Amino acid sequence: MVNKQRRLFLLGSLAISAGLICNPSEIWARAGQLSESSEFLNRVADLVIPATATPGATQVGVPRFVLSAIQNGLQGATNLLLDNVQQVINNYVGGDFLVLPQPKQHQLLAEIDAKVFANDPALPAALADWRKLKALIVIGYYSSEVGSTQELRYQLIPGRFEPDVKLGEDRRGWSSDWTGVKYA
Amino acid sequence: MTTNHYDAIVVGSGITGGWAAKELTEQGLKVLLLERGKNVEHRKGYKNEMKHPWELPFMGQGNKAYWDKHYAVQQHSGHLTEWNEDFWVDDLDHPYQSVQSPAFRWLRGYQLGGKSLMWGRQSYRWSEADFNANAQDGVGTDWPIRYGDLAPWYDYVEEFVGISGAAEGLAQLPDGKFQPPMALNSVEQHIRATLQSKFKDRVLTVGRVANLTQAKPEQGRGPCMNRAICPRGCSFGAYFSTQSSTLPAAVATGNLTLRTDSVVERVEYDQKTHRASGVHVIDRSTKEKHFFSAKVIFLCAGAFNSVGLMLRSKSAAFPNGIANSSGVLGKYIMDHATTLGVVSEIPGFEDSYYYGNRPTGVVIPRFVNLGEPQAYLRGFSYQGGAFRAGWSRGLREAGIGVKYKQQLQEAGPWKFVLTTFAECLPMAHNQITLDEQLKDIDGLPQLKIDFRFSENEYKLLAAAKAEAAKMVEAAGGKVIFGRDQPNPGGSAIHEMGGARMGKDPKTSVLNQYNQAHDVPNLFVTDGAAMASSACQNPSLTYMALTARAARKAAELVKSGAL
Repeated sequence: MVNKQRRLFLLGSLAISAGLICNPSEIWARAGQLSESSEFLNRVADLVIPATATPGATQVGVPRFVLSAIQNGLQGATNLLLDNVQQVINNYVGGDFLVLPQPKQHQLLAEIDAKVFANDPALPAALADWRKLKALIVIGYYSSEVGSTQELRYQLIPGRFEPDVKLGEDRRGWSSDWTGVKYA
Repeated sequence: MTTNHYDAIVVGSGITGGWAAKELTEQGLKVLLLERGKNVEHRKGYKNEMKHPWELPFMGQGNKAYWDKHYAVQQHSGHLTEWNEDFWVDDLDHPYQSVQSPAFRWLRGYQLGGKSLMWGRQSYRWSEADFNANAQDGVGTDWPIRYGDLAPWYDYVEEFVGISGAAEGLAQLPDGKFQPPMALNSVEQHIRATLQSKFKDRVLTVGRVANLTQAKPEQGRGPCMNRAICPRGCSFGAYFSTQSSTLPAAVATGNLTLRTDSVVERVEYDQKTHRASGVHVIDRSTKEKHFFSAKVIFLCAGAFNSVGLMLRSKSAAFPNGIANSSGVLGKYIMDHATTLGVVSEIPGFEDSYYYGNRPTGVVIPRFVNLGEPQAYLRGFSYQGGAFRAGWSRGLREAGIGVKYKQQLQEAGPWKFVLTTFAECLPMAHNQITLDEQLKDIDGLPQLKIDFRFSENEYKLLAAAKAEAAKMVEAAGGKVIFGRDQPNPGGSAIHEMGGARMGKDPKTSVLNQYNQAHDVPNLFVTDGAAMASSACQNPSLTYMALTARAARKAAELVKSGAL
């Protein structure tokens, strides 16, 4: 899919050179509309939020949200986001990330992620896009029904406010604590 | 053209328009309430109120591309969400011009109920010191009223609205007729105790908020369900809005005519009677024009829109806008200077959590410039609160996989944040004019807003940042960051002034009853009337002023004086 997007963009660029189309954003809008799935996105989504006692990212439909979010600019994403991130990760690992065994993928992505969040100056600037992609995965998961109500706790109508509840065995956060989510 | 006559016309149906309609109809006047926006019915109109994030197309995040186009300004409001985006104006349809950089953020809601549907509900009295401020330091014109004039009207509106809060006996933030307060959580209690022991001049108290802790069955309003999703609209009627409170009261009198989709083009002035004779209205659904006449006219269109309407209302007698013989109409606009004073983490409370969402934070009332003068004028207060960081902290943290997921599953660290609200001095250079060339979707001239914060506001924010850090550190907290640069003007959504009250008709637009000096049957009771800004949220004061002015106007109509 990603390669298909790139091919489309190149075709579009050729069309521009030929004077046929003059608006690159239109080309990308069309490229974006064709995105229905991405193997790369599925893989990294599950590496970020794997299945545990509760389902992981792809099982709850996170990639679908991420693709829609990318097309509409959430978290500052552009339609190039997936392509860019996949490309820089492939460059970083020196090959095709997707063909590596899963433990190796986890190890390398964790390494990249740690460097990105440590603002490692040696990293290619394009890897900053990883923050955006990870953000969309995290938002998609914890805003899903499973993420909100099973992984975390959710109550739309609490009905009362108890100011000091001792945390016992269940130390899960409230996904419906909108203040805690908004200002975290 | 159709013509209709009423005892009173109220322009705008937000917080003050609702109050004007209620008071005037209850006094027996036949009232036409005009709202430029669409009808939003209580309960039925809150279409996303009960939706979960996963039921929305963008999981509660909103469609950024759409927002960038239609809510280029409005999206900066902390109250705009995917759930309630329909309650905010479309910036494409309702543009305005901003002279300064950064641009003024004019945040608006054009519908029945106006911003009363999405307001922050913080409800504070102003103090004697606030009404004295202009006279005391000579900045701005002296208020024609004092706290004592408004106190009984604060009592009156508070009892109807339903304000929950704690009495603290502070002169600078007078107590009101409160419903029982909401509780402080464990970290907020700790900080309150820290202030009591280490900062004798300071108090942390729970936010005084227009959310019921006790039902008001006579108004059909239930107590707060602790959802804290108020700006979606509340079917329980637990917070005060036009829809939940004032409109039903006005309708119950049988004296109200409501007209939505009706924007007022201008107020007509009758040179023979020296009165405002009525209003010219554009029906936004049919594009037809109508004229409605009345004995009294209340402008409650929202501070800047009321000023814009007055500037548009030109006549031979008032070539620069109705009731503008002073020339100050449009001038001395204000908005609180706000910024994040401190963001901190408070360790030591890891086993304490809370259940339910309290729909208010905490407030630390003003403690500066109440005695010994400081290096700046006036003061600041803080609003904020303590909470445990939610899952979204994962956006800023390294980690992937099982361990990361486990970390985000737990309630996050306790955070304590304070937003600074600094008083904005009334300055003549901060003003609204009309741009006669550029029009909005209704063909009305756009407002040109010329606003910048002054040196005093910067000094206040700097002092507030330093004091906030001291308080957090005294409570054993760790400061993560604090700001002393103001958010762009308008961000507080406390825009005020432009038709200020005053004693002298040569330097003010309105008298002590919000009545235009020049046009005795024209009243302006929204934020436009304010002669200073204090550092408290102003809505409660607007309500008290409106109720007081409406009672006065009704007396004048009944006595035949108007």
